[in-house]
Amino acid sequence: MNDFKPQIVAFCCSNCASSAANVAEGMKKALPDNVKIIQIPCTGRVEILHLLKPFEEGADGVYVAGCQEDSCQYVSGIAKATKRVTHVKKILEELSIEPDRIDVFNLSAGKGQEFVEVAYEMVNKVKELGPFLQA
Amino acid sequence: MSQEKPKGPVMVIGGGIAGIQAALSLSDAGYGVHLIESTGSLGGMIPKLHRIYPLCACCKVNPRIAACEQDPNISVMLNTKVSGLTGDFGNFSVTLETENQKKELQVGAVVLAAGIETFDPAEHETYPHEQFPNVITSVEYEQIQKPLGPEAGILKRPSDGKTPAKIAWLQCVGSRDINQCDAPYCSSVCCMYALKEAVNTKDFDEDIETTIFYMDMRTHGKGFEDYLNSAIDRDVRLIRSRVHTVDTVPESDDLLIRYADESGHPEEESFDMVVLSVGVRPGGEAIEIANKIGVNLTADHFVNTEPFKPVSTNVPGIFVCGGLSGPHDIGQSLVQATATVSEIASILSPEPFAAPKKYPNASEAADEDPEILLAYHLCPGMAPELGAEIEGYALKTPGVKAASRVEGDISGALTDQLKEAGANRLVFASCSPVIHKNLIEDALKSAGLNPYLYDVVDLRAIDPQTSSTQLQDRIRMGAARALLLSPPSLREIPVVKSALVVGGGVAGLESALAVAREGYSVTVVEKEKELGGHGLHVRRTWQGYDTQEYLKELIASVNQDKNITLMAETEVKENRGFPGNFVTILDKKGECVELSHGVTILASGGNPIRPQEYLYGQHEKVYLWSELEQRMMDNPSSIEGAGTAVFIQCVGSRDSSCSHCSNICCTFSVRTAVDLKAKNPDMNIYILYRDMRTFGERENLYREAREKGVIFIRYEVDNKPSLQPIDGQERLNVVVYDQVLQKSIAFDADFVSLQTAIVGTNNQELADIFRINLDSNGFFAESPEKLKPVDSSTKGIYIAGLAVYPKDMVESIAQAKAASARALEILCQDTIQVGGLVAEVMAEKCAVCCTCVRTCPFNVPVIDHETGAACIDPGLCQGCGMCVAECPGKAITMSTCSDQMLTQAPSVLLAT
Repeated sequence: MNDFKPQIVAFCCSNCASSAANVAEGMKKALPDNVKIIQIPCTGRVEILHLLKPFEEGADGVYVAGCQEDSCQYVSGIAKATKRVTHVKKILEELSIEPDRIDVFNLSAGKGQEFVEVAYEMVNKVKELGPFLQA
Repeated sequence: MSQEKPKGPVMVIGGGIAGIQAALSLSDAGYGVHLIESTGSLGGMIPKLHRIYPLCACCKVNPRIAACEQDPNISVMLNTKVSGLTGDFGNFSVTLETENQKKELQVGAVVLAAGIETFDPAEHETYPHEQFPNVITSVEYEQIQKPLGPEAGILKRPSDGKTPAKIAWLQCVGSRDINQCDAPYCSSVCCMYALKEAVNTKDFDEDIETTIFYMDMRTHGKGFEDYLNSAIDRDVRLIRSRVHTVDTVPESDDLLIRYADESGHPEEESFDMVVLSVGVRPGGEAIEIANKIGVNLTADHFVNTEPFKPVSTNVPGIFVCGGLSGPHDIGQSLVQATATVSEIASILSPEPFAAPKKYPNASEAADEDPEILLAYHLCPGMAPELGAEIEGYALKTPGVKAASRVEGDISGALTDQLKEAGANRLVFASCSPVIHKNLIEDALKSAGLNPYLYDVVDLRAIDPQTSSTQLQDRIRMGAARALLLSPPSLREIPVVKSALVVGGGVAGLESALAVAREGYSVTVVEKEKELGGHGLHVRRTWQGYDTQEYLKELIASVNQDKNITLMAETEVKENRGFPGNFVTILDKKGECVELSHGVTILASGGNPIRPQEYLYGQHEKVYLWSELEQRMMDNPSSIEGAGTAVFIQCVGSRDSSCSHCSNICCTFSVRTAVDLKAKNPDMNIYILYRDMRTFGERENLYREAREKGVIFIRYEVDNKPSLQPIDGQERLNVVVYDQVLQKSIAFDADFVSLQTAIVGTNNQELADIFRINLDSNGFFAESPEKLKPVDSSTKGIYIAGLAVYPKDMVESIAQAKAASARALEILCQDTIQVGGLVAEVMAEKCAVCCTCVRTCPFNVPVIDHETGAACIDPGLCQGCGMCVAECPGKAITMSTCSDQMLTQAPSVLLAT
């Protein structure tokens, strides 16, 4: 059995991800304790450096959770974040690191369970990849 | 101005989205509000629904409910019914009953917002809702779709829990029906919600077949037609038909739908589940109240409103908004709710429950070394042991000076605890930090601190097995961020107490009057020589009221109003500034005028397009609809004497050149046809249409037209009708392929009226000048903040009328009043606070690369040539931080979410 417990850092939009958390809470769904959240006003705030920093500090995976493309309170925040995540994937690839260690997800209050589901999805994916430092 | 007005609080009856909006807007305008709800919770219909279309706003409903509960000027009374109302405007006495306790309250005005019910299909024999478990109503379907519903969002059919492979929606259940239910009107919202439910089903599982059986697809609102087209692209199947029987497939739980297709041909098809798109009707209790207090109802039992006063009832001082005044969608309900405030302000002076709060001046404490108070609030469902654990860990966390629990009056308790602890930073842990934001900021201000010196800890979605780790991570994070907070600079800027209204049509003039009436000066700018806009070409409203008479009175009252300055033949050239303090440069017949104003209302109107087809401009008997109206006003006999009249719908609308539906054209044609038939019953009238979109109570007019012998022929967009001039005559030959008869038919017409698409007058130009966003159809876009239908994407700029979306005059008036109510919220303040959660430019680092200018979704950054740097107006910045992330020179900062915080956060979180 693979008993590796990856450490994941998640950048979450304080609008949709927060209301999605509300629904997840209502469904009594909990986040795994190895997913650590950094709240940001809008996913458009997050920079490439911010996305890389957690890896340096020992994270095994990183993700960004923002709005649906068509309902971002700041219009293009999640689109910007998606672009940056794509770029970080390229950087990781160039460093021979699995690009799947970073991802971006679109959440909404209407599908709050996804707030927890994507956390588990990310944990499982990174678990398969193994610890970051060995990569 | 307001000395002779009576004074008093207001009662809002009904706690759905319209009632909530009315209460919040009234409180913003300074009124004390009694919000009465007959059930045990606020929210009304929306909490029962799964996602709202097209822009989902589910996330905004709970914060609004919380805002009502937290507002000292709103007294929420749940489980309360109105049992009587006596007295007059300014002095109503209302008897309420809460759990058998009677209570009497005195109020100055009343807003009826008691909402709608959905049709109960048990009354209807065609739809076996009671017999078959897999026949459910649309509301029941939304419950299944909801993640917090009984099925946790997993789509299963009720009889056997199987995932349905094929689902059918049946439209107009309990609408457009005079045989089996007393609802001749169209419920207006069901086509859109059925499309939304089908699209959400596709989101759940792309392989589920979704089919909608309908008569006319009525997607007539702002952005609705685009949503319809996207649903079709998602393989939502639409069948124009009449369903006559729903039965079970023998020996299964499946359902067999028997229907007649458009040509009358019988068809049948089986489905796993059938959803009944039930119509809406005014709530039974609401009708009872209305009857008790002498408010007139329409034949369809909706509250009747005064001509040209869309939210006023026949009883002075009693207003109406939302579904009770007709089948309206959420956006329209919000518009009406806000509009009631403008009407109430004109007759009643506000009497608040609580005096406006005074805050001490900010102390120097913020500049000292950060010392944190960690306060927490536990919701009823939370384990009480959690408190001890939070406190225990918090006190071990660097920077935390004190930790305590708050209960009851959150803001007051926080203020006291901050003072007691001598803390200058706050970390607040609770289950819904977004909802507590206002209370936290209020507490910090009351404690003499900068209101943005806090961070929040989310206590939700914690796994009970590992709660300690999660709690500790989050507390460490919150404290670490709070230590890095520096107080953002705040300024109080005086509000310029005047408004600019762009557009001298109905929407512009109504909003100007509503603002001027409250004593503020208003400048109305009109491009043309004459006031009235497109209203000049409208003969009657769809209800039959005389428009020109109303317009004359409106223009006269605007002319008489000393607070209003009219500038005709004037255009807007430039605009700068922020809410409370705008400057606009105007071009008045070549003369340059500079105007300072606190708010802006854009009501620049719209026009029908001039088509290149149907011989327009080539044959003198082919009219644009506005030209036909003009003729009917100037020389009615020239039109009324015609033997045959033809109306062609959707000219240049709903096609590749212009994808939106122009909303009012179907109703215009039936209104005109009914009027012509009244003058000349022998006239042959043909209306060539694609979908008859006589939504709401306009449906009654459509039925009347059919009864009077008006002939409706449906055509397909790829097989449009054709017109041929007849040699030697003024008449035209019309050929159209009839979808019912499945063949072409031809007839001669004395005139043809083209109902062409309506587009904004100069929206692009104004959007550039005022830096606001347009929607995909070129109309002014509403604020992406959601549930703010008259707010533009820039604060302090409000929108109304045809420039927002094609709509009838009565709806434009409601929008204008709502826009003015929003504008008054700013004008009634003496100063406005700018700064806080915003981006700031360090001029010395700025290389003027314009990246921020291009990045900002709200076009806020500009280059200031004097300082040689970008300038971000703190009054306009919405605080997303995108420019901070994009600036290549790191010249833009945001104190509440700094680079330092984001780069240190991972080490704080991962340090275990």
